[in-house]
Amino acid sequence: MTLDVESARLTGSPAALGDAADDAARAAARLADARTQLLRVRAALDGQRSAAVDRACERATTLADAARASGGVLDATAAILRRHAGTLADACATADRAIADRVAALARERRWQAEADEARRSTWNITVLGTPTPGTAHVGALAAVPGAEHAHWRLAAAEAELAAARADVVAAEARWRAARDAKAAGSRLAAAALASLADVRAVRVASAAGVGAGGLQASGAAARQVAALLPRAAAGDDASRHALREDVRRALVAHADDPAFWAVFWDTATPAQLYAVVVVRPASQLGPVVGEIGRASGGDVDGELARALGTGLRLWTETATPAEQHELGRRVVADVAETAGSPLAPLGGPEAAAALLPASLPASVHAGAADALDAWWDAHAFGDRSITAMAPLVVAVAGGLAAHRTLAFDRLAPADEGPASRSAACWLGTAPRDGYPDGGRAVARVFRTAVDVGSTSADPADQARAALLVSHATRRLPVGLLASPGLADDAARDVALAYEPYLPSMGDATVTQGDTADPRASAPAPGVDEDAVLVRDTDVPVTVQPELDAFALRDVIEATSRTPAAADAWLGAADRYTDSMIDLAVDRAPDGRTGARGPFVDEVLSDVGAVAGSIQAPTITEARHQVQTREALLSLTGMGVGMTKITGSAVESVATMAGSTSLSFVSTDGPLTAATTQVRATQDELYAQYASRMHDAFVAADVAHGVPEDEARARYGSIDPSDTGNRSENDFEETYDFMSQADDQEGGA
Amino acid sequence: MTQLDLDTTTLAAAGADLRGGAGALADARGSGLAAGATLAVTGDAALSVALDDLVAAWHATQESLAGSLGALGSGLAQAAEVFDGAEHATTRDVVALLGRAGAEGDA
Repeated sequence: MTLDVESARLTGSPAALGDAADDAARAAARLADARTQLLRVRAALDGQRSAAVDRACERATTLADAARASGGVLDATAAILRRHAGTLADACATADRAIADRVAALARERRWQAEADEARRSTWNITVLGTPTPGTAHVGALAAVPGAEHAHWRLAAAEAELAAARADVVAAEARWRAARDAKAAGSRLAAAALASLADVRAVRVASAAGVGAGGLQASGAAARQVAALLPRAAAGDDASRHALREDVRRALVAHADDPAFWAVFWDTATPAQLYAVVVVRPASQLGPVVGEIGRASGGDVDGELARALGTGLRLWTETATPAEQHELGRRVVADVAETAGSPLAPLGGPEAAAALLPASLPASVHAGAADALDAWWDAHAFGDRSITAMAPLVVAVAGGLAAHRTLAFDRLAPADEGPASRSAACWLGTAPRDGYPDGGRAVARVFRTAVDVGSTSADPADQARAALLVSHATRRLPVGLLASPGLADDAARDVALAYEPYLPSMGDATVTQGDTADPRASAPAPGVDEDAVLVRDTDVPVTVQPELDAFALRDVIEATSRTPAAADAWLGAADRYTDSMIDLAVDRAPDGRTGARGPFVDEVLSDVGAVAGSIQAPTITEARHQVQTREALLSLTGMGVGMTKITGSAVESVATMAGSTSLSFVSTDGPLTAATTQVRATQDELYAQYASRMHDAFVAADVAHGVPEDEARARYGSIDPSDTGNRSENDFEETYDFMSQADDQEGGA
Repeated sequence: MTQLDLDTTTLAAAGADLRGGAGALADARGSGLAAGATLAVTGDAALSVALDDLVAAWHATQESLAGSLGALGSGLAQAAEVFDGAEHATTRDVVALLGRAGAEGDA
């Protein structure tokens, strides 16, 4: 914006601009000196051998590079200012000359105006005195008047001079304006050049990356150009919009690793503007790169763009404060959540947002993103189709939280009851109808991470937060994450491992609930089990335990052990638990029979029985479904059996009645009988595995304490798998039967 | 512990050199550059804003560089003192000093 007043001296001081240029050059020289010192120090230290000195050399090299980059910026600044000082000086000199010329021309104009006026008066007097006779020549008549000719010539000459003076005024004003315009043009050029050097973030990253002033200017200009294209690329006709979008995409990919570009870009553009233009294909169309958004994925076009967006945001964060990072993370999610699921939403917006949030970003970014996701959850109450649309973004935020353990704990495991319930409901009790694009891996991972942070903390308050989360999660998971199709084995495994610290409660939860008249109705309210102990009658400390609903727990275990790989996580956890309990038990001195080790035996068998039984539950469940199907078929034939469970004799009766129909082969209980037999056989195998491990370890421990081997074996006869005659009803059978539903079958048959 | 074989004179000189450089850099606050950003000097509002932004960017960079330079110089000087004063200085001592210098510089 020009400050210049018409025909006044141009504002600005070329001399002071020259001083500023000199100052910049001096600062650049100081940087050059500093760089020389750094290189000299590095050279001096080069001959010395030490890891510490190596570190100092490395630091000196980094600083020398930064000094060179900053010096380049200042040198460029000095050059711009000097050039503009020259332009300004020329413009000022031209303007000054024009002003002087105009002043002189105005003076001439006034003088000749006066002369012309005087001449005009003289001419008028002569005309009045000697009006020419009609038919005579005018000049001849005037000539007859003394002085008349001179007066007319005087007037003509004055008017000519007056006109010339006026023309000079106009010309001088034109020269002044030309000078002013030259100054303004020079100022615009200088301002644009300085702006390319002046972005605080860009200068900082350029210094860190050793980018020279030229590169910084080019990157900044490119970023501003792309940011300016975004609104245009979101509007207009199809052809021009498509062309502009391609330009934007190419520019973003080309500058993927350019820190100065992203430093300027994210200071200028908003996520919403980007979503309106950039299309990252929805995950359903990405085929093998599903779940890979945000990471490099070969030559795939979308992969390139996703990588550019993720890398760009990471580069930007290197120059941003935590508060700025938090705000941009919030906007990345909020800008797309506003329209998610709407027909008007930009295609692939959530995918683009997900690409902007690779897990490697700082925690502040993901904290901001999680805030926006919380707000979206509050607004959408888990019901509409935007949940499906937002799935890629939920995956990205979950991945980011999981990468920052403390953040994952803080966000998923609040200390208070209400927020904990809400957290479990949002993260674990809700899932897209078609499942998460990554098979639920990220959400399962952040759950496991949060639980791990709390359960391994030395602070009981943290342990309680993790236990509270697990207590709520146990009710939510079976109808949320674990009910979604396409659950990956990795996800199932992470959920299983999250429960590992709580194996000590599984047997107790099963027994307590199973012993009631109505086990389902007697499920405990979600919370922390204040009375939990690791082993009864001992003072062995235990991680704070959750209240667990045995039925919900069975559903969780069942849903996370559907494949051998997934089931291995539970069995591995049970193995580790058994081993740790054996270690604790053998440390205790023997004191007759199973003595002090008895409670450990009971506890382990009870807990692993619950887990093993739950894993077997699907066998019974599947058999029940088959029976129900057959019952339904019989009912449809009009035999009146209905959907109630039928006994073997009833089946025979019905089968006889149905003899004339094609259902004469039906034996409805057949599948259940076979399933129960299979579950029982597995029970024996598993019991033998856990019991023999404890038996052998305890016998060896007692022998080591001087107990004769025969006596030691006798002490642990009840858990000697080879001595089936001595085996009694034990805790393993009780919890295994309840959780596998085998006792339901036998009790009801 | 590994004993180090370092030339303490070199370390001390390097430390002093860098601390001097840091001081000189800290003095180069660009006051002339800042004064150049006034409207009276540039005669153009857009140019003044651009120059103001550049001065701000330079100050941030200058402070960071001067701080890093000073921290590295101090680390080297202190390392030299440790070696002069103790026969049995160890790698850990130097790592601690220079590590701290690096961390301060990064901050």
